[in-house]
Amino acid sequence: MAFQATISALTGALVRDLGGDALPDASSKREAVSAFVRSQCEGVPDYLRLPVKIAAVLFDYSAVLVAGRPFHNLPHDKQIRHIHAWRNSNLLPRQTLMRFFETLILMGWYSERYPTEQP
Amino acid sequence: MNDPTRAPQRVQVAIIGAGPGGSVAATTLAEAGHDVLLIEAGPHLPVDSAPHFRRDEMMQKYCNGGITPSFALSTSMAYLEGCCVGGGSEINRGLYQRTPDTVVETWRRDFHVDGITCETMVPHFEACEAVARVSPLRAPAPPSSLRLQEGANRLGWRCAEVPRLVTYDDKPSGKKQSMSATFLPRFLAAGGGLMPDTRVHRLRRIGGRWSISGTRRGRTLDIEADTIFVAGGAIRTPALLKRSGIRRHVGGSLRFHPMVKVVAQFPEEINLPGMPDPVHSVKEFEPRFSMGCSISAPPLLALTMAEHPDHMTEVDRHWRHMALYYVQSTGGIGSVHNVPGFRDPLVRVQFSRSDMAELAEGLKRLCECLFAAGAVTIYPGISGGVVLRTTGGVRGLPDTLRGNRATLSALHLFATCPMGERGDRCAVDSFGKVHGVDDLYLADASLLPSPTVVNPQGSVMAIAHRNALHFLERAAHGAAKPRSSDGRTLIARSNL
Ligand SMILES: Cc1cc2nc3c(=O)[nH]c(=O)nc-3n(C[C@H](O)[C@H](O)[C@H](O)COP(=O)(O)OP(=O)(O)OC[C@H]3O[C@@H](n4cnc5c(N)ncnc54)[C@H](O)[C@@H]3O)c2cc1C
Repeated sequence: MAFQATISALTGALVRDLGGDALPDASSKREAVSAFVRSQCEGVPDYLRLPVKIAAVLFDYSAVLVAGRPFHNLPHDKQIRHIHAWRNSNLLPRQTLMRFFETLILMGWYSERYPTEQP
Repeated sequence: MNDPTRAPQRVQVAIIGAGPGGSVAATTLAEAGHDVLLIEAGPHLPVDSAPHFRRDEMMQKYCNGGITPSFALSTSMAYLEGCCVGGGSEINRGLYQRTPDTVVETWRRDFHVDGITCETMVPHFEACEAVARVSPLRAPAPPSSLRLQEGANRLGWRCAEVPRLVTYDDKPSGKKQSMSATFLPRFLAAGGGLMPDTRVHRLRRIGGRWSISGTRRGRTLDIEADTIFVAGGAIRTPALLKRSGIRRHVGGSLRFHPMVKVVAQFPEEINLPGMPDPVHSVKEFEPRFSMGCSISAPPLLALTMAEHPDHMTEVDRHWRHMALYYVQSTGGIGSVHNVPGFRDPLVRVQFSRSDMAELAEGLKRLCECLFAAGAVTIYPGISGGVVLRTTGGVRGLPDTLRGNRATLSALHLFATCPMGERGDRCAVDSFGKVHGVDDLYLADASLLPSPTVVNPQGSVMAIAHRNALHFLERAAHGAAKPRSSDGRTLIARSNL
């Protein structure tokens, strides 16, 4: 549950930052991206599956220390600040985790935004 | 064999992995009259089951949905592999080049691969090209590809169109000559058995035969075989061998073509949907590094632009003016490991100072070429968010990509079980037989002793063909037992 909430919040924050909320159908597209990210997390090499989930939840709760609430309960501007703090962190695991989720969300979002017909 | 309930208990030859190497070997042996079962971990899907290079294709046909990171103390690298019937040939662009003479010579000289010369390889390339056909573009190349050529021409650099494993007979956009469209129908017509969705976990030698254990759609499975060809690709083949207790020179010498990408923006529209795939490659600096143009769909542009979060909205605004280019070298080494209790292999990579300096130089050259071609803005795929707007800015790029500075990726993987007669570095002999192990052969990119410098699928197929014919010759002379007893017929029938 905590993992799911984190992924939904992270997807929502990054998609909104990309101007995605202004598009028609934004919420269903966002939900599709979030489902994509969750399913990709299930598909990562098996020895990474649990660590990825634990790291996502740690990311969520690390916001309590700096902003008083878990990431998924923060307002948008504070969510973005928290994402930036991890993305630009000197700690490699934080950077790597953010890069990993950003990559998935970008892939998912731009695939929703620019779908192609089946050949 | 597509019926899961009818998995055979016992076969003459089992081939594990239906990528280009496994498919060519399987077809060659089946057409020669062997009883062959081709076992593939991934699904059997039509080549166009999802739009190419898109999210759905990654989920359907890539190993681990396309998330296959490697680990490093300093610079890490993501790599990609296909996981479906046809392996990498189903998801790749099919850019096709024969192995360069210098590379074949290195294999002969440094690895003591017997009987390999540029001349002896020719019939194997020809045999494979007769089935999986290779063509130059019939229509003009897409503008993104032509820009690269123009830039190279202006700088006086060698640049060439690379032909593709595509035919243009039926439709102008071409028909992909992947394994599922070429070799595998012939394999099935020759009576070969194909078992998709079946992952092999371990091989055991019991009573002079091989026992293969795996799972098929969640159910365990055991098959016996006289002979096994492992063709799981450069990462999964060594993982399977190690899991099966075969470790000598296995998995420790991974090589690849590491790649850095840039997004280049041009004043005019260059990224038009429906265009053929880009085909040009700058060859001026080979074998040190080469450059090319990638598929530039918005999701892929966005991934490289992730290094430039402040400019991300440029993708929405200008994607038709943007294209993705890459430079790739042959630097770096790696190793493949199993993690106890887990199924997926763990890959470690390592780059030397000079590997990273070479890639950094390649990146500068690529940017120079794109500015010469008329690019107005270049977003390199390196951290720090540096955006280039003039050729002069290229000088400001770093002289090395060491540390966490570059987002590296690799599509071409090799050499985890090198072939040759050198006892101090080769896992398999000059024709793919695992040294010191009976009736076990490899038939994929893992046995190519070093990077091919060019696109590798042609090399994988030709070597698989060469080694399968050699196996048939050995069989004809009594070392193995094909269904037919007439060795000459076997070889003639296998002449694809
Ligand atoms: C995105 C992409 C683009 C590329 N573009 C080009 C290009 O344009 N030109 C070019 O020449 N090359 C290209 N390549 C590289 C090329 O596809 C590979 O070099 C080639 O596919 C390697 O063939 P292979 O037979 O060694 O292994 P693979 O193609 O990797 O096939 C191995 C197969 O074995 C299966 N397998 C693995 N382990 C097991 C197991 N334990 N049990 C059962 N099955 C197993 C896998 O699922 C897979 O299907 C590209 C690769 C990628 C990923």
